[in-house]
Amino acid sequence: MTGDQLSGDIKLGSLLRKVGHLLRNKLAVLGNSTYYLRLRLDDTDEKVTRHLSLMEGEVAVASAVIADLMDVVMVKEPVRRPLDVNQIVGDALSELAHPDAVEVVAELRPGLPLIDADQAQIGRAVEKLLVNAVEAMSSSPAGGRLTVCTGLSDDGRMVWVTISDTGSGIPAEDLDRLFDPLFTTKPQGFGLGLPIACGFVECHGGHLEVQSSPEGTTCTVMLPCGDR
Amino acid sequence: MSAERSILIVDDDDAICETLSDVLEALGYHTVVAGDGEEAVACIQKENFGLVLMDLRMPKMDGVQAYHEIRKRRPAIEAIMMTAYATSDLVQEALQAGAREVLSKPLAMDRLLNLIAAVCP
Repeated sequence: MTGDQLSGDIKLGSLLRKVGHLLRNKLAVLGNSTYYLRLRLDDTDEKVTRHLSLMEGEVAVASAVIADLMDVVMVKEPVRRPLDVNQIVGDALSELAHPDAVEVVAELRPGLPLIDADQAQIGRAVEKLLVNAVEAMSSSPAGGRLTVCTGLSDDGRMVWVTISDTGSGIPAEDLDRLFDPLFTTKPQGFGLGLPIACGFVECHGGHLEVQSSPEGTTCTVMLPCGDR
Repeated sequence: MSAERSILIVDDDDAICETLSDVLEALGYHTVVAGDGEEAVACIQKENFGLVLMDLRMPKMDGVQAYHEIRKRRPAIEAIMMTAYATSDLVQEALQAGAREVLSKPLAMDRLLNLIAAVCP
């Protein structure tokens, strides 16, 4: 990397941080105002309720896009502490929105060794993979099954998390591009979820693999166990 | 209005202060707004509050510094911090300073109101 490139990256990172900060504050105002209007307006008016819900939804989407952009451009050094992978997975599952037609099954192996990790980063990685899996099944009225498992590698050095869906799978020609930023096959997608998840996992010394067939997709996260 | 249901809102963005104040006043809380940490410390010396709802990054005095100063004067006062961009270590610093929680902007209002209800019954 040349000095000019490094300087350019630092400037871009700094610019994005400032823009992200500004936009989140503006979205906060919109979100607060929408909440105020919901308190004050007649909630029996179907159109009013619909428009308030649209505003809340758009604020949430815009906020998520900003968060993704900042995660991609501004790689932060993990702030590590001993963490239970099952706890991280459980927290992410409790926050996961999914259609009723998508069944969620968790098979979390008890007593796994702790990992030394940044809770926010690994939590974000798992969240991204769960959302992808749900989205892979959401377009089908039949839904599907999301299965999340945890375990320990045979040599006892890595804990693993697998996130499997029963969607229609990823075309073979797209598999090599999955981790390219902005590559997406979804009409509303932004193409940052997998690169973010992969970036967070790799900066913890782990790796992320994706296997797919027409019967579904499985993402496997491997993370090194902590020293303690 | 009892001090327990009085909330000091601290943010250098006036529109955030105004909209948060409107929501909380509509729900029956008394609010006062301050534009930075120094102003917040001055407010605390004039009036008692049950809770400080404060931005982490502000000019003059940031949220963590301001909360340290506030607690020197009012040790029992609780704080919920807000942030539009915080590193993990800044969040840890806020929690170690005694903040009840650090919430990201835009705020999940139901989460915020549940926290406030627990502090200011």
